[in-house]
Amino acid sequence: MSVTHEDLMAYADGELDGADKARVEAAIAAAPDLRAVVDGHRALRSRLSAAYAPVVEEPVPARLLDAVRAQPAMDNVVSLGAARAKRTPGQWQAREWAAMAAALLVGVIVGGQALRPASAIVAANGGLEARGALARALDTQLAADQGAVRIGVTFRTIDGDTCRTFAAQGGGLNGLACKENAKWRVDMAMRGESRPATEFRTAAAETPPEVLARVDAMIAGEPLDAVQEKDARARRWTAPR
Amino acid sequence: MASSTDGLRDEIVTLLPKLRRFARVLAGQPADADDLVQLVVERALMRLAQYQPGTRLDAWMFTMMRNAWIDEVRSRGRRGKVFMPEEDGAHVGSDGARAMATRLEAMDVHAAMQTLPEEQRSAIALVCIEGLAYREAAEALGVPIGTLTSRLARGRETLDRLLSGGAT
Repeated sequence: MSVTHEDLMAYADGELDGADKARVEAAIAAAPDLRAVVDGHRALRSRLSAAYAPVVEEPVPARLLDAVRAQPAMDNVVSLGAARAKRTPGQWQAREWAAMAAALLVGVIVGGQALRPASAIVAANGGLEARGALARALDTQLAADQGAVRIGVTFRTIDGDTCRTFAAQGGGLNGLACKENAKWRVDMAMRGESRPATEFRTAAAETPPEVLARVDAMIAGEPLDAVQEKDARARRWTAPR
Repeated sequence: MASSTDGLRDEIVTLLPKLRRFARVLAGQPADADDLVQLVVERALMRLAQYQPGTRLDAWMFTMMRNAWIDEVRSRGRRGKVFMPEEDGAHVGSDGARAMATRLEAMDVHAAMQTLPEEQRSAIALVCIEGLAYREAAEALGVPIGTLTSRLARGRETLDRLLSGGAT
């Protein structure tokens, strides 16, 4: 009968049950010095919680209480996430989202033909989601690829999400979407000036300053380079570990 | 629902002591730690719509805090630097002998924790101090349970070595 060091630790932390727990307990009964290992883990655990316990007893600084009660700052009118956070939520919310999505779809319809308007961005789950050709481009396209949708910057956020800027309709629809639960949540979308499709532009040059400002607010570290971007695509845009 | 947002704010208020504690583990310095808490509160309010009701709000905010701290360390370029909590030192001697012993003991543990790599320190803080289950801690850190377990084991080994010979 063998137990690993990690088994003993998990047992000490109360993580084992059933057969695993019985196995460790049998091992301890057979080799009492294992009991000391378990006790050691528990002693360290109590020592750690005791060392940090005083922090919980300290009065919470007023500035932190104020921060919880404050209205979130509105960093950019075209940032849907910020707008949503600022607006007092209510039963109108779903309708407002639908209206916003509809407004964006008008932009798509006016803008051009390559994206099916009804499938580009839809209101779903209290936010906006990329669908259809836009979602496919976000999933599969690299910044270097040409197409009806152009991908600009791919980056990780401080929360570990992967986000990408996009331009569709020759710049007529610009925005930023983040991969969440296998969907592309559209964090921000705005109409831009449509440009002739034949005119070559780099993705960065296409990205409006409002979108770039939003990237700056969200980004952790540097944008992914071409190799990292490919690598991220292979992992379906989940963060590396 | 307006009431659910208000409810979440109330819940965040009750979490502030725990958030300050986890921030203290991450940042070491009390002032840095409270800046971190403030940043995370502001971010959480901005992203309240992304919070999944029914999941642990504390774990959600711990994740955000840890990511914010990693980002902060990266931007300051001081990863791995060891801090001594200066306030603990400054107050030694102002209490009775027993309280002083407690503070010295706490300082040992704090200093030892600050020598750990951030990933081990976070794992230990979430499990041993915040009392999250392995599964919850692994989720909060975005790693498989096996990775969490090995970080915990390695971190504990180092702490045991650093703290051996001290008070128990």
